[in-house]
Amino acid sequence: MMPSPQRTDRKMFWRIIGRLLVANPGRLFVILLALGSGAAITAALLNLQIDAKRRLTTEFRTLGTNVTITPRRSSQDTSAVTMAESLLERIPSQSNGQTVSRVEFLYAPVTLTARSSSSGQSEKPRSGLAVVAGYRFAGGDFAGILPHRVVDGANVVILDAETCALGEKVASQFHLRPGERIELKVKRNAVPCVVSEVWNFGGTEDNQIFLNLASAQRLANTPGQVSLIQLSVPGTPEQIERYISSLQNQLTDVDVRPIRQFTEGEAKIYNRISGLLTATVLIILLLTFFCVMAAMTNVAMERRNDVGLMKALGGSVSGIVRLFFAESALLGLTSGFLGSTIGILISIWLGKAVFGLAARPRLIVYPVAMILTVLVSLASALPLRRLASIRPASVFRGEA
Amino acid sequence: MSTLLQVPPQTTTTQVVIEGLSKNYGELRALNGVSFSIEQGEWVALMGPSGSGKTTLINILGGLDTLTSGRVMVDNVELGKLRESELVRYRAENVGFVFQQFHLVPYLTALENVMLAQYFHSVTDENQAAEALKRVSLGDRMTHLPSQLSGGEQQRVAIARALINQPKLILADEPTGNLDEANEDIVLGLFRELHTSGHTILMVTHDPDIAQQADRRIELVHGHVSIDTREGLPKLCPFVHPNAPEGDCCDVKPKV
Repeated sequence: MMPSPQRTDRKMFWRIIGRLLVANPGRLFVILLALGSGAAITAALLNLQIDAKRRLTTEFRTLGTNVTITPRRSSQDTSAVTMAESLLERIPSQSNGQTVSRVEFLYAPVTLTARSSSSGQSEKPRSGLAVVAGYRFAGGDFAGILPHRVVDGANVVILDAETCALGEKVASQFHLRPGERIELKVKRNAVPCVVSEVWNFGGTEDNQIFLNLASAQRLANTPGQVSLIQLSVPGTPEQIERYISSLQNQLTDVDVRPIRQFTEGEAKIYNRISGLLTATVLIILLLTFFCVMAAMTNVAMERRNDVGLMKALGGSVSGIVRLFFAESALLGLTSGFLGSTIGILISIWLGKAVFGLAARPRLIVYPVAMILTVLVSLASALPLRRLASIRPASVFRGEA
Repeated sequence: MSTLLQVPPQTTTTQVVIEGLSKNYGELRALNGVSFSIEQGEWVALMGPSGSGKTTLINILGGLDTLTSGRVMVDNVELGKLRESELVRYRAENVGFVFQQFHLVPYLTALENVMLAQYFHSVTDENQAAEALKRVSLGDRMTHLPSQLSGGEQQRVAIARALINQPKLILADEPTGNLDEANEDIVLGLFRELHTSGHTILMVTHDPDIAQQADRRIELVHGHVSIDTREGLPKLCPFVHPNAPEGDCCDVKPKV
């Protein structure tokens, strides 16, 4: 009997959903707020996690050094801290038609003695330990490898001595300004120089004294040797990967390492907080689930009569439940989209606050956060499933 | 008021057959061996005191409730043997309900309430639903929510909804119970039109004047048929009237 199955009338279906959604604006707002907040926090934490992981594994620094070359230390010989200066000439100067900036450094601990003030009046010598970074660059410029800002400089013309630049912290520590004469000494070797500029790097370089490589080698008594070569390789991550790989094949007795967006220290922090972020996301989703489920339980109570009536009019259980679950899914989608957008904006701010680097919006976060929100929304709507067992006659008798 | 939906003319046939129908709610017996039949196009007023089983009978006939024993046939379909899914289709296709409490969905407009019955029946037709509302003089109230309508208007929406799928059987449970006199007249006028156009109506009422307008009056007392005016004589049940003469047309023989 009565063979015709219920056909789908999509227009009316969505019309009913629309009415269901706005039937109680206050409750709609609470549910959207709960789901949206959950989605926002989920998206923010997921974006931070994914962004950090990408930066850690695939992205290279686009500004400054992104490749380093250091002496390879074997387990037998741990004393090798320098490598041949001539390596610089073996490094390809081009990558995909663009110039590779190359700088080699020799680091040495020195004793710094300040000889005079910038005003020319002699005063008591200031002395202490410091680190000299002797450097020589080829291709590009020094600032391209080590971006910095000149915080103090003068048009110093020195004829009788060589010049050196000071990191901001060293200058501050020894109260030095451009124009002052200092002496750098390692054992019996001494090099006098005049401070030309004070540089700010915002890193460990602020503690160093920058001198030409030959003078530094003379000081440290390591002729023809360098401690480190830094490169700034332009191009896409894939191009840089290829450059590194080819360089490593070419220079077999040194270590060629990429410098990614995150440093190793930051990576350690990331690994520590990654689990915490995942747990936080799960807790947030669980709390959202309970919050929305409480609202949905209320909805289920309110809609008993409507469901009884729909059944009396010939509505099947699946047809009626489909309406309510579609409503929940729509709520999940809407709040998921809005929440994810807000969450990604939060993650950009949070990334800057935590890592000093604004997180990039990762598109994958949108579907993931939205699917999670829809799933939470659908799970929260489970109380509505109870409506399926309502008998219309019981509802009309006021028993259900 | 214009003519309501017409039922195709048919020769007189028995549309509803009820035989020995009983319904228990736990220890309580709401219906006890009820038997009668209703012809196609007949208007039957179902009367009786509160708790006599009128609404239970209507609910069973409408497929909203199950029976405990006996047999209920509507258009040669035995309701007691239908599965839940078949009952759903039965309600959608064969029955139009009009309730005392109107039972409109509060967040749907008058038009959408009518379309809801179409939606669960097959597919919606907004023009047809609008036409149904115009027929009950609510052409200017289509976009109103139930809360914006008077009781009489709500009941007229419910009637339009009950008729939209052209059901063979209209079950009305005190349709004028919550209405003032003016609205009662309007709603009864609609039922008269339905009757004239060939619909079968079973209407629960407490009002003898309304019952007077029906073709036939059946009275239930304590779950038994006590009066059926088609047979001309009151049916007195010995359980209710223990001194009634034996052999009276009760469904259950008295224990002597």
